[in-house]
Amino acid sequence: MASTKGYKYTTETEAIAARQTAADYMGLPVPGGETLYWVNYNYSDLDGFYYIQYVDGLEAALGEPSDITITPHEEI
Amino acid sequence: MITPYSNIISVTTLEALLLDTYSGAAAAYSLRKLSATYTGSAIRVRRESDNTEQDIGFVDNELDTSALTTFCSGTNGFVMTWYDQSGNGYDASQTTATSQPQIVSSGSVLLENGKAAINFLNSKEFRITVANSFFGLNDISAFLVTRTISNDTGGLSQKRDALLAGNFGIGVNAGKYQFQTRNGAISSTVDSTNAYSTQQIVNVIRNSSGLYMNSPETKFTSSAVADLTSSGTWQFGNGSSYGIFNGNIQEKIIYLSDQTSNQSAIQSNINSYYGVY
Repeated sequence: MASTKGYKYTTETEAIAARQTAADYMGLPVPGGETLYWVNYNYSDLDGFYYIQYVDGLEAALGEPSDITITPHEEI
Repeated sequence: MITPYSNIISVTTLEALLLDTYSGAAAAYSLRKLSATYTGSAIRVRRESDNTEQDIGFVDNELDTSALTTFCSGTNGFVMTWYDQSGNGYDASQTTATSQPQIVSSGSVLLENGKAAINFLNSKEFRITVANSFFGLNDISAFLVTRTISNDTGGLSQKRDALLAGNFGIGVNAGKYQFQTRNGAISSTVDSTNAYSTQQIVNVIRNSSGLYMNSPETKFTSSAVADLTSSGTWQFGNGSSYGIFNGNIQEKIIYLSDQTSNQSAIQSNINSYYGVY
């Protein structure tokens, strides 16, 4: 088990909306820029949920993060 | 009467650009110019101060670090796109800011052994859009210039489906370089014996005989040819099963052909620029 700070979502739609909220807060994309998002979401297939990992300052856009536990793949 | 020469003519032998001599790469990423016919930029960089982006090209066949430091004066710079110099258009890109690898720190270009390097610490990766059959049953030769910063596990380059199907993977496993091709029962892996935390040229080849790796140890594993067709994203600096790579990458060249006969010469070309050994 790997524990990290972040934001957990049940559906991909919720995760996409949160990603857009963060991008809007950061003002991305800038005119002429190709960087679309500040953070991206991941899917934990062994746990069945979507999540965004916390980065410095993200609480201003998405609120306080929580501790989430992700089950890693065992085999490389 | 013999008139003595008063001037000494100095002749410097310049190494040919790699792809001009060893052509046919399927994808090629570098912080030096690899082909005289390539007219594009090396990288597209986002500066952290205002998220503005700019293409950075070459000067004298090297990354234009002057333009890079001017653009990123006093701030951090991250690579949004590493352009493919092969001519095939397989640019490696990352549209999420926090996943973009770094090349400038507080106005200074990150260096590895005196040359610019892209740093993949802390969950950075590029993605490359290719056909599902890109690797398929092809012979494969890959050359990377890299340094692992910690003896952990992470993917240098991987494309696979879930459940280890169609898996092409070059990575680091507990600090040891690893090359794997897997598709169901046809599964083969070759590992370096030792862990390395210094700059290395990593060369892997998959052909009809099996898997070969020089990193710098020479290793070989006999294997049938696995079909590496997969719908998975081709990741660069990460891996869906390896996870995050912590280290630097300065060059990555992929041939979908067996370059065994050119292996030594290609490594020599790479080393003449990077001075790895």
